[in-house]
Amino acid sequence: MRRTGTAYLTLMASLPWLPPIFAARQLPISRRRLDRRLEMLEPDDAALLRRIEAVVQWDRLGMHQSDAEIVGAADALLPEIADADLRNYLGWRLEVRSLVAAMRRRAAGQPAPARGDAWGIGPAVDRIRRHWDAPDFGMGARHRWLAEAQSLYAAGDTLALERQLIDLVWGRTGRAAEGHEFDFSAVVFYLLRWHLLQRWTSYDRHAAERRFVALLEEALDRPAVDTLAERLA
Amino acid sequence: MDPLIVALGWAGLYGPMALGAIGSIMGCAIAGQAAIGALLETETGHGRWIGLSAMPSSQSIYGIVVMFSLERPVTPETGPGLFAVGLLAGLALLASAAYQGRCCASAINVAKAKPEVFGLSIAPAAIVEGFAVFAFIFAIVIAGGIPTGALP
Repeated sequence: MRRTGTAYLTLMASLPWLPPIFAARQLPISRRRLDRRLEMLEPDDAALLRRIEAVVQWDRLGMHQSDAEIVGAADALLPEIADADLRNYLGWRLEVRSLVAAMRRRAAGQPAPARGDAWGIGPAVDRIRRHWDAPDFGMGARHRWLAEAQSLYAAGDTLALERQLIDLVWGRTGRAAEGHEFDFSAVVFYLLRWHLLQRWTSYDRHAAERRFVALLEEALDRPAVDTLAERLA
Repeated sequence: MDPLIVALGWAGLYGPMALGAIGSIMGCAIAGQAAIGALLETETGHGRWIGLSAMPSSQSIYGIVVMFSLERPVTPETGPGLFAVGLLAGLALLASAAYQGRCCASAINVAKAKPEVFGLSIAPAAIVEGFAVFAFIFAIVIAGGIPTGALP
């Protein structure tokens, strides 16, 4: 059972403001501190939040899980989301993921998935499958970002593609969060935005590590740098 | 019929105080919960958060003053007027306090991240307070029109 809006006041007020994603240099709150704040949630809310995270965040997916299990978990989750804004958002988010998966599969020369195959999530999966040979999978009107994403993917500019997708999801998450300041959906939107920040700032960290190793290569002997690079990896 | 009118008259007499207090309870609790959360996230300015969370208290005071302005013998002649003015003034105070609490919670949530907007962030709560003051003042003004009454 979801609690009333006032139950989330203390939790949301205890979370730091999240900066614009591409301006962020570091996370405003670590995962450890965030988890401690999230302990304020009631057990049923915490369990639902974990399920949402497990479906939406790739890094939370178990490596042992099959595609069918992941699709099944997402299909079971969405009807349980009481808030329409959050449910629609999660549906959109998973649809975006299905489109990116379809784009990659098609670019790899794979044929359209068979009817009933567990390869994507959401009501649009069958439509994408039926329009497999259309440039925009028949989804161009609803997903205007798709044309640019396809051209970036075709050009091999994966960094720009990643930036475009993060920007798209960040903006949509922010718009979906409007009007949700102190409720369960606000907690979910905050956490999902935190994940995007974490993803982007971690990319910067790896770039810094590579730059650091490259600088060391110039100043030190190669074996010592190799050892350091292995430790950083 | 007279006992019912008299009972409603008493409800109208005590209504502004009781409903104003209920609103203050709700508003202060809402803003207070946000203030407690902000204490975890900020290193300084804790007094501001707690002080702001007490802003919806004023509706209780307005309710007390309206109650005293309505005070007169409760009779079948004065009962209907007391009930109407007291109940409506009380409802206005209740709603303003509860919603002011939400405004204060939002102000705390925003100002903890951006302290320089603290003053501006209070403006919506102050505007809501303004409507409570309207209800308060005009309840007092209109109370003058209710018969002063005399016990039989």
